[in-house]
Amino acid sequence: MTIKARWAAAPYIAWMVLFTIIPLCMIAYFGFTDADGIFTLEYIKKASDHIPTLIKSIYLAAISTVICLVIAYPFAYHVSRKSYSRQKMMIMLVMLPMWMNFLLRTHALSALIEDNGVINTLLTKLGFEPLQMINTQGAVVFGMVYNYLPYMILPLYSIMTKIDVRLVEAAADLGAGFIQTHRRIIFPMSVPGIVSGTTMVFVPAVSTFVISGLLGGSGNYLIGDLITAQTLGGAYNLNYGSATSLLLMVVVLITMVIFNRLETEDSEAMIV
Amino acid sequence: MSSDPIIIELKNISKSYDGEPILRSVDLEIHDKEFVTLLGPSGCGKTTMLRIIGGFVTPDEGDVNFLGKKINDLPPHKRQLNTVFQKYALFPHLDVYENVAFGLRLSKTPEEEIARRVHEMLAMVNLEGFDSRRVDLLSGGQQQRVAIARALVNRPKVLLLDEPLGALDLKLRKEMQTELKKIQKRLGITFIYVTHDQEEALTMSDTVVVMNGGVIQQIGTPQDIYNEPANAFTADFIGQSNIVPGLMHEDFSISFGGKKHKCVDKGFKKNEKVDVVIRPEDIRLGEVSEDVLCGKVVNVTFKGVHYEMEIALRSGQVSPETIEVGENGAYGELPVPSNCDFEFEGWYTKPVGGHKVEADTAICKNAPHRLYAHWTMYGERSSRIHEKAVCEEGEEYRVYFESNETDDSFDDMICENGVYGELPVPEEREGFKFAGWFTKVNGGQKAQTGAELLEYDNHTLYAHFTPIENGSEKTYTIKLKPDSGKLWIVQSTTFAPVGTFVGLYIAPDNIHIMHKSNWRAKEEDETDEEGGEVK
Repeated sequence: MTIKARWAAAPYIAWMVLFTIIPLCMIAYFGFTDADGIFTLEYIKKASDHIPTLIKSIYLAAISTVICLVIAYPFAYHVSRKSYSRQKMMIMLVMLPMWMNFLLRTHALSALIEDNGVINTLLTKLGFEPLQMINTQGAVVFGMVYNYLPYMILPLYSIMTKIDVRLVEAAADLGAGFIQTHRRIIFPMSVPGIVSGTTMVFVPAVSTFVISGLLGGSGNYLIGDLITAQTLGGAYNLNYGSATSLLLMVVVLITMVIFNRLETEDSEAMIV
Repeated sequence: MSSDPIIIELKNISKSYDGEPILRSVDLEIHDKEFVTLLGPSGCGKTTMLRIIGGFVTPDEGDVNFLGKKINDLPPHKRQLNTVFQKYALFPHLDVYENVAFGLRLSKTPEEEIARRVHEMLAMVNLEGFDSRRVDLLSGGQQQRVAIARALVNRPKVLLLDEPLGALDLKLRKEMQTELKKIQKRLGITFIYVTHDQEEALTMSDTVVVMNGGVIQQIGTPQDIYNEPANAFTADFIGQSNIVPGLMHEDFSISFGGKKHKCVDKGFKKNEKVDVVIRPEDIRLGEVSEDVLCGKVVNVTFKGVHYEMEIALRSGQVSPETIEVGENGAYGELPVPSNCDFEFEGWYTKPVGGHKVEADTAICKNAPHRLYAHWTMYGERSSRIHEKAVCEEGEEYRVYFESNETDDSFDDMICENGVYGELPVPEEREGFKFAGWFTKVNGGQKAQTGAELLEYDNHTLYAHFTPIENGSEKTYTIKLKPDSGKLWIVQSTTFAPVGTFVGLYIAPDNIHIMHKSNWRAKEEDETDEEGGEVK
């Protein structure tokens, strides 16, 4: 049985090796070498100059993640307490935007909030001053929330829907009102969902370049844009780009470790 | 019942889900310190009733009073009662100690007191030293104990228990039953216990509330409920029962199963249709005889102390409502022919059995049956077939007649030729036509050449008359109710093998008679279990 199981995983393992492990090794290799393939820390040092950009990326991604959580948590709870058919319908609505390509959605968003975009045209026609919306940090955060919200809702929903109604009733029975029930029952039990949702939103948000590129303008240059610029087009420098990527990966890794620690600590807290 | 004050009062409570009524105007009073069980089959509304008391379900109509105060609109967390939920509903992210402490933490009890009370409770449910265990790693019985401790630690005035022992195995369940009862006695609080297990209800309760179809069927002590069921539903649901239709002729006289029986009940209307309930353990098996119910053993199960047998009664039952008798409607109202040389003996059916037709007579299934008036000869002319003999040459029946008045009865021997012809043919009476001579015993056969009389010593001959109307024969048709097929259940310490015929002896005081009701339990799923939405 184990042999069969191993063979079943073979295609994916091959895929992983080819398109994840090998590229990762290549990035590490390029990051620590120069154009001639000689070991150097030059690019790592150069990449460190971009730490302010990295901090800005983390900052915007963190804000988006928090906003996603604030929106998704009550919504997911609401959905999870509905009847099964209602749940299915509402979750389909959540997934609906994901049927459309990510790039197209972001383009559509930019068409909406552009200086001469739909909203501003409408505002001027109504006699208001046009608003500066595109090319702001707000636009980037908005784009992130808009694109990644489903990734927060789905894990939260799937955890919350497993919380037995009887637990909620039991809490009420023991004297817990709405807030206490959430504080002592629903929230602690949703922590795994919160952790995976946060990871699924934060990680792609911190490395995005499409959203910042299309909605943020030149003033909101993020680490993802930087790597793209270094590795594509005229400035083609694989070593520089790889070094910057390594930096980003370290940040993502640290975040993941922190989140996982949070989760296990919390489940340990259940036991102790 | 209890002299303690009423703690919970339900007044005219109704509730329906999706137009389906679950509770119909239920009234109930629960006294302080009482162990009350809500007992009924799935879907009877017992769980909904408990949830209404707990505050998880709002009734469509009616009031819930707690110590005289209306608590309809009070949310669960403000009610002075606690619940032990069906599948315990322990908080999986908290350990045993924190689960039990949950309610106390919410009421901002000081830490030392929490510790003291939690440990006191854990000791009471025999879970000392389990403080830091994870609840999902406990056994079913232990989880159950945690749930009980978690509810009781808040010192509620009333504890609601929703089928708390349903998931436990039989032995553990029995242990927990005694333990729960002890806890209730020790704490002196009210327990409201929902179960579909009648045995559980009988062992634990002070008061049992039997429910069916959203209506309370009976409220009483376990003894009352078992010994004096108020209706056939209760009788059927509590313990095993044989429930058959019967007809109450008059006080102390009932017929069911095709026989007339003495009973100890009175106060019913004359000829009222009733349900007759007989407990399986109240039937004694014995010799087959004409005077008792008799049936064939279909199935025998050994139950340790006794055998449980299923017995099919020998014939179907004719209940009064299934007989159609011409114009006047009932047997009593059939035209009784006028007096003559013969004594009217009653109305009989001819095909198969020649049964006397009375209310609730057992008649076999051949339908329709024609009715005949039976006449016995008076006095000296009363004759008997004294002996059956087959002549050696040719098949002859020798029939001996005996006269009631002379000892020399054999003189009247009549042999085959013209045997019956020499019997005095009764005068035809107005409205009736002579149909021949018949025997009554065993089959009501026509006494004629070739008739095979079974080996009874004495056959009384009866003159048979068919009613005539306007010159043609008139038929009284009897429609028969087919055999209901319901088997009787008998618990007997004596054994009878499958296939044998046995007599069913029932003492008059074991025949329980109740007014007819639609007693069969509704067979449907408990729809009210998942119905509640969290607000």
